[in-house]
Amino acid sequence: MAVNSLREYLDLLDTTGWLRSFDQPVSWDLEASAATMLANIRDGPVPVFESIAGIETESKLVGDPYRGPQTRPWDHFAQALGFPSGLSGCTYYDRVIARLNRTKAPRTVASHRAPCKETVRTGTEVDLLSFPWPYIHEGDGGRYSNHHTIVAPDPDTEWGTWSSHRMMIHDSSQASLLLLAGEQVPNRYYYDYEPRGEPMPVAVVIGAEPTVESTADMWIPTGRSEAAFAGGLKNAPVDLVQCETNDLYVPATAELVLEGHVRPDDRLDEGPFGDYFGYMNGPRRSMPVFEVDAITHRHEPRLPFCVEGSGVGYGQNSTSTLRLVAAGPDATVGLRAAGFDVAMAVPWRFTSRTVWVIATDRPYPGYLHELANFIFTTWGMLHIDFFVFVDAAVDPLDPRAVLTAIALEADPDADFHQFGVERMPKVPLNIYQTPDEKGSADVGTSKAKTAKAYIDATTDGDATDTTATAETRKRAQERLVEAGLDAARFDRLDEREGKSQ
Amino acid sequence: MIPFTQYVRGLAGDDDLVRLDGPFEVPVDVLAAEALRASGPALRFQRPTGIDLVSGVFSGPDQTQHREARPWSRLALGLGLEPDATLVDLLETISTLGPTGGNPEPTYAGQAASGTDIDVQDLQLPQGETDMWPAVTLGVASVSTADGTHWAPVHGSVVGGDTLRVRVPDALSSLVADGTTMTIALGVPPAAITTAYLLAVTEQTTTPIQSCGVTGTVPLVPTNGGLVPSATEVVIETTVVDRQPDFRSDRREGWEYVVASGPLSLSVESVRATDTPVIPISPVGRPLADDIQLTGLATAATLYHRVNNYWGISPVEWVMLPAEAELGICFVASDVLYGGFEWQLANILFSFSSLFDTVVIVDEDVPPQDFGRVLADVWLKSHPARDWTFSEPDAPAATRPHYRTDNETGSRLYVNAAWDPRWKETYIAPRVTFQNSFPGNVRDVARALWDESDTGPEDTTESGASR
Amino acid sequence: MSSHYITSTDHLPEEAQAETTLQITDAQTKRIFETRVRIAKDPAELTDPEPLTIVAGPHESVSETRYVELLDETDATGIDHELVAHLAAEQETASNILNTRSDDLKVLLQYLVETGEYESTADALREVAFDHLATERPALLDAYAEVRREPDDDPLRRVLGKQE
Repeated sequence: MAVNSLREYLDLLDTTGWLRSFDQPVSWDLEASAATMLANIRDGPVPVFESIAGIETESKLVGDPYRGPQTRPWDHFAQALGFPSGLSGCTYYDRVIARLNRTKAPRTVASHRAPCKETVRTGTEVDLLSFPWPYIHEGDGGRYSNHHTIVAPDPDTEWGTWSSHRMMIHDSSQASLLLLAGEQVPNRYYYDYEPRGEPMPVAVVIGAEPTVESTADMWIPTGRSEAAFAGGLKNAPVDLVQCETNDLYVPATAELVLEGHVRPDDRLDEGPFGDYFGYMNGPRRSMPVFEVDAITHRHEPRLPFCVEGSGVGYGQNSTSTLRLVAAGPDATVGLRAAGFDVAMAVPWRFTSRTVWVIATDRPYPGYLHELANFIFTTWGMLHIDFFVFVDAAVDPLDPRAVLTAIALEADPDADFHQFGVERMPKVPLNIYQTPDEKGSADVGTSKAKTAKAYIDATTDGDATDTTATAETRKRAQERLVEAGLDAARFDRLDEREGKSQ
Repeated sequence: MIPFTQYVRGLAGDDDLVRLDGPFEVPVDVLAAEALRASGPALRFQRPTGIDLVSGVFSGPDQTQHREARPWSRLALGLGLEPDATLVDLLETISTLGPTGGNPEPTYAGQAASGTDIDVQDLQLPQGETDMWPAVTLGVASVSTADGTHWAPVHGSVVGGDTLRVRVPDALSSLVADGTTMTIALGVPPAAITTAYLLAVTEQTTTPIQSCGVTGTVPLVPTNGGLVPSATEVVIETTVVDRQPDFRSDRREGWEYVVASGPLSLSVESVRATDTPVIPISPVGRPLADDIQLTGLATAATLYHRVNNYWGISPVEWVMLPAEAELGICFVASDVLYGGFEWQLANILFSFSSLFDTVVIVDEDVPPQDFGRVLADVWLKSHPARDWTFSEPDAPAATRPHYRTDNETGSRLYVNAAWDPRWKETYIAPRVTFQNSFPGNVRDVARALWDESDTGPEDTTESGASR
Repeated sequence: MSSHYITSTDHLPEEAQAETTLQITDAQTKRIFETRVRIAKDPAELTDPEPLTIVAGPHESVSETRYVELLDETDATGIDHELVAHLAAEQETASNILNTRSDDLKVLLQYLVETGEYESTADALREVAFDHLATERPALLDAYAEVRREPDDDPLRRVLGKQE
């Protein structure tokens, strides 16, 4: 059975020894973040800060709750879905893909039965600053909520649209949202609500249950709602409850809900912030204003946050893990639905968002070109710069195998495409453009374009098989585990459970 | 100097070696390959005959995961370095084993392999699932000429009871004639095999070892095929019977991609071993195999030395040819002195080695053990339009990649994943790190929090890695 | 109020000592607000100087120190909180009689009282005025609620309770 809430998930981590609670007061001002980054670097337990220094609050902070173990980053999330621990990456993907293929519509519950409404504050009782929003990196423009799901209206679906945009806290009732044009919700605001002078209702949901949180970065086709995919992932409908001050629906077991609206024709500073590519990124930009109309929450809300920027290189954090364990399988499903017979689409472990690896056959000439163009014009448009294509038989979750494929199969002469052709949009969230190139565009896409590139690291002709048979390899692994090697290292001991189409 | 058995004992003492008792229903080379893939310890295959095999002794963990040990940690110990030796310490040590290490006085000692003459079949070298014959890997071939003794890596098979079909560098073949004695040494001290690899990749096989630094550290003993390390585990004396035999082998050891090599047919004259010999093996052709690691390190040592002695300055911090990229990509960390320097650096590296056609340049402050950061910087710091530079398609094909094996020319690629030296300081985005993102007092608080709490589900050392 | 503030060089006015409205961050609480300020390089030029870090550069990684004197805090809704607080404080010792000077209004309000809808014209005026302010000036009500000691007025409490 999948878990129903963030705190059920945290309890699960606790029973497996992957949670560490700290009772001594820890400050929201850099301390909680620093302690969390250490845990991320050291592959240690997820920290929960029970007592926050310098503020009277019943809230608790949780640092990077979805970060998975380095050897099997999907292991915690798998258990949250009700799967056993210890699955190989490929098997995990197969199971998640099967779930995503059977979406489940959410159901609504009455307010009095929604845990997220245990406390309701409206009007003058609304005080954003009564919560311990963390100051995450020295040099950030402000305190941030960056591990949340934003619910916004969507005329094409029944339950609105869910996405994630970082939010910088200003004062007791206002925050700025990083809304980058090109993404769905920002487009709704910039090109639909704001031109009409109408505030756009939104709800910022903090500490939603795991399957909900995981959909925030997923690519969901227009007309479908993330809620149904979260339900599919969970293998049970997600419970939603209506907001107090607008018509949006929010997950009922969420820890904290900020109801409000994005004001038209108004801007506040947003940024700088250390973001997903591992560097501080500025300068501050003028971004839309989120005004809070109501705050509802559970008793002693657990507020998750992400030490963004610590998920590059060897490091993993909550969002980099969620991309690997949720956005990856979802992208695989999406590409197959679009007619591309891919085995697996996986974010490259070291860059969190910028590079994706896709294991696929090549059924006809020009197939990779079509696949690349499709992705570049849809979900890969703004943040992703590179795709690496490998054979279907190569495990894209094995970075060594991918690196080998690039080194031995990608011919600089023939297999590197669209490098040097600068015609595609890019968010200013990058470190390779100069400030002039990024410009100060209000809506957040860089002035200067960039190249989107893909590398064909598939083998031409037959792959030379230098490995032993699967059966022999498996017996060898069993023998080695008997001799004392760590079973977590081996992939064949947990056989892939057939291809799911 | 560390003899091979002592080296193997040292690995066991460090908990970096696991013993497996025979019989082995699974082929030994498959066990060896799986342990390497899993970044496991070295393996010792114990047999009732007392002649043991060891695998993984010259290899190490997969760098695509963060670990405490480096791929070169074992070899560093084998060469007498401290456990915390840096990659550059190792590269410099490797270079001193060759001709740049001068020509110190050799020392001599008795041959440790002094047991009775046995059959080469008694060695029970490993035979792959699809192989016809047992394989000889990680061997050192030695011949004697008027100039002195010459060493080279040797790789081959045991055919029947008394024949070895091997491949050696052409440079070594050119020194022998039919009837010449060639000694095959198995289980030599790490310094000796490293020297053989170094001489091969620098195409200096014709340089006698008496002109190399190795003679200053490895005691030698004369054989009919020249001087070999006295501490060698198994000494096989052979005569060359066919200098142009007609056999093909599918697999190549790593060094065979660097120098031209050719087959020889050898007749075994005598085989002598120590009392309880230990013979190293490599699962040639499998990921992270020992021969690939040795080739990568020897080549990196050479490139590092050459590139830092080329311009009269030493801008290069380190050079690495990781086995994870099968030696097909050369990574270099360097101070980018001026705009365009990266172009010069890449081209110099291409001219010094034919293994790779791709060079990745990272900033000098990237430590070689932080390969994860290299694998991030490649994509994050390089501009997809401007920092991936493809040459004209008239460059010779590199030897490691699987494409263009027909020797057609093609392009080379270098990726500039370093900061543009023309950029203003303020353009350079500060990195999010524990050091940078938090002031000292906050870092202290964070550390104290964890130090005072119980440890987590496993030992939360820096890497969190377990065997 | 803490003693250290941060702002961006982009927000600075041309002349160093001119009064200006500025978005600044309280370095300790990280609260970000708009306020009228005077800035100077030399603290002696200001009455109540406090350090102001001015960040600059594409990643705001460079900074310099000036001094700032906070005058009146405004916010995006244009409410002068200092003024509200000041007026509220003054009101503690002042009369609360308001004269509308409108015959028309008096008639209308009296009608509401005569028809039983309100107890008194004062009552009626309170209800009507607060309703209007709640709809049209919610930010002002918020600001006032922040500085009030205790609500002594039913209509106000009611209106505040109804606010979203």
